[in-house]
Amino acid sequence: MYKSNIVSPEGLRIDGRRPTELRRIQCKTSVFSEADGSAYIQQGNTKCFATVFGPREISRKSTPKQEKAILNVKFSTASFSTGQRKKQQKMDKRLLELASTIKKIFENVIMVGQFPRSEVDISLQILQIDGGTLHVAINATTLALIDAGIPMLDYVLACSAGFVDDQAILDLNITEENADVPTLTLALLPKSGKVAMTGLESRIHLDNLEQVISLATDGCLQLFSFLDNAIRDNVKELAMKSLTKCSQDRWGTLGKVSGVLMEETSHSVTSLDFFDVIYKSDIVRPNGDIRKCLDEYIDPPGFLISDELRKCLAMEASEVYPIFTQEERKEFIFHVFKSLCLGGKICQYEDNISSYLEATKLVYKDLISVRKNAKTGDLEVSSHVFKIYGFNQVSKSPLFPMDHPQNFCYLSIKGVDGKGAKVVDVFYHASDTFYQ
Amino acid sequence: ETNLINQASGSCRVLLDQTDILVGIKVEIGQIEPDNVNDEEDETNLEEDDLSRHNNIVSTEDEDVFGERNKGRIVCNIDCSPSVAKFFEFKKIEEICIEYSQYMNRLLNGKQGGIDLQSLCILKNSTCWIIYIDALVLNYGGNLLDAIFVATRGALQNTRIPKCRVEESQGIFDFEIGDEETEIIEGWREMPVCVTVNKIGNSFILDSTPLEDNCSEARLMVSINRKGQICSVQKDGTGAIEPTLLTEMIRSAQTKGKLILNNLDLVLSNEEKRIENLIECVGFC
Repeated sequence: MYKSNIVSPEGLRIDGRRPTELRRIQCKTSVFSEADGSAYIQQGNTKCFATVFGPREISRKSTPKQEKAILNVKFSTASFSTGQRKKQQKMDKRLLELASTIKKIFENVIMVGQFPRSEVDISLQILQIDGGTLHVAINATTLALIDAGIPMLDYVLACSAGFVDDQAILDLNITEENADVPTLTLALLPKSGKVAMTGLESRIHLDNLEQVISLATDGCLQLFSFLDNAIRDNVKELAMKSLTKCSQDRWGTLGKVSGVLMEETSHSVTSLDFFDVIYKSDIVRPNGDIRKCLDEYIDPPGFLISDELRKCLAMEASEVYPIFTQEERKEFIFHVFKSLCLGGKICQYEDNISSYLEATKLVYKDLISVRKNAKTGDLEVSSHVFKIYGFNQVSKSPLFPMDHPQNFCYLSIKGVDGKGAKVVDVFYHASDTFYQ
Repeated sequence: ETNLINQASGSCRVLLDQTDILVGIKVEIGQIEPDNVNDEEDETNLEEDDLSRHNNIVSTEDEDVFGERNKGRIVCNIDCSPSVAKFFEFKKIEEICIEYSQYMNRLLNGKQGGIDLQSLCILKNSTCWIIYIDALVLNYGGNLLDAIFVATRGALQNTRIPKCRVEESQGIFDFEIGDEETEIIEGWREMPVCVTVNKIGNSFILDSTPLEDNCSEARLMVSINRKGQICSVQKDGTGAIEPTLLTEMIRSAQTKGKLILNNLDLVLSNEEKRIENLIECVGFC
């Protein structure tokens, strides 16, 4: 490959880039669940994985314990990474040298003083080499260390630059490197602008050196903005994942709701005589104590059934269920009674049914209003109760954060028929995963 | 996913829960070796049901009718990336890598491996194609060998060998490697998959997680090919297996192996379509 072919007369390189253009970068952090920190970066066709374990206890007992963390860097390339297959040797000097370079760079950047008598293991795995092994590995290490949460003074970003045909070129690929183009690899700490490492393995005229260094620095700063954004995006993604995984609570405003899905509940009951069937049945003893039964557990909602009352309310297949007919179950007062009896996750059950009936009475009376029917003289319910279970269109947040039989939303509207102000009472309960 | 590594002739990546395997295949020209390192013992081909029919042993002759050596070979190598070091001691990792590499070498370099080694021969008695299969374990999540086999099969489907023209002039044979034309490896479809069966207590499990791996007393690695034939069986581990349990384990592995193969082939044909349509792969990101 002749040097003059590197940059064509039009100013394009072999892969179609301009001389001062970086290769396409793709990166991702947290690629391995088992490692404390991991990252994958791809610059052009060079692919590299970095894994970080640490800080952790020193594994080799022979290592003298120091008042700072020790860095161990391991560098390996896959056998299929180069053009010719090369079986990886454990003691390959070139790889050992690269590992030692990376170790020296990061020993000064990682705040090793914060972790005395511990070690940080960094492992680099190169999958494909297309020029720039060292600088891609350095970038991958930075990402992985940030992912592991190890405190560092600054990012460390590296880039390579070369000089050919009176021009400086940025980010060389393997063909350009092999064509005897003097290649300078530079590692930079972007915030302070300090150079952490630099290496040149070929001849270059002193006059041209400054140009190459400034181009490499420029490349590093470009990388910095890209990788910084990538890390922030990755962190946001992780945060969203953990938020949605551990709690399905999606509380939020409903936004504008234009239509609701509802049904009107029956509300004809005006006295607690409605519940007299319970006294006549086997559910309670004559004095009102609720009969207990063997513990059963209904799993998806998570109800623990330990007495006959709850069996009647929640277990359809039980013998006591038919005590209340389907019509009776549609009554609003029955809904209130059922919700109060079944309770929530840490509900402490009452032993006597009177407490439940009292509570039901209080809530019911609060929500509905009664009036005397002029003709019959009986009391009748004058408010309308609607059960809301959904919306006509998608709202900003769901009505209930999670699906649970104890969710309910009742709207009791007083004064619908008559004149005067309408009063709306809302009776709402939503189960959330807090007690799950 | 296949076709991830441009430098390799074929590649495939498999994610089996947390187990992450990347296989890269490179084909290179080499010498047909005078001493057969690969075909010392025959791996008997067992017919599906009748074990007593093994007097039908097909010997894997390395030489053809004229006593000429005409087979290419396959060299397998398994490497572990340093992130696996968290689970095992260093020496144990080496042991595992060497054992699995040898298992694969023995399996693939023979009739039971399915791959047509004769088609890899370029010039008899001198040059042949050598297929280097390099498996890289990126992350360990149990059931390594099964995942490695799945990835290898995927990578073989993806591998393209340059077409080779053999010319004769004055009794001397010479070959020329084409630049553009490539061909697939013949017989990749017959390559078996491995099903690892772990014995725990008095029964067995398939597709073990790392914790289950630690609990298993004995392990059976059974290779099944597309026709449901058993291509190789190897026992690992310190415990012993009762004969009845052994047959049960092999049978179970057989059924599962055929299932895995069918599903794998479906996925691989989809992958081929994706590559044809130039849709970009998910890759590692």
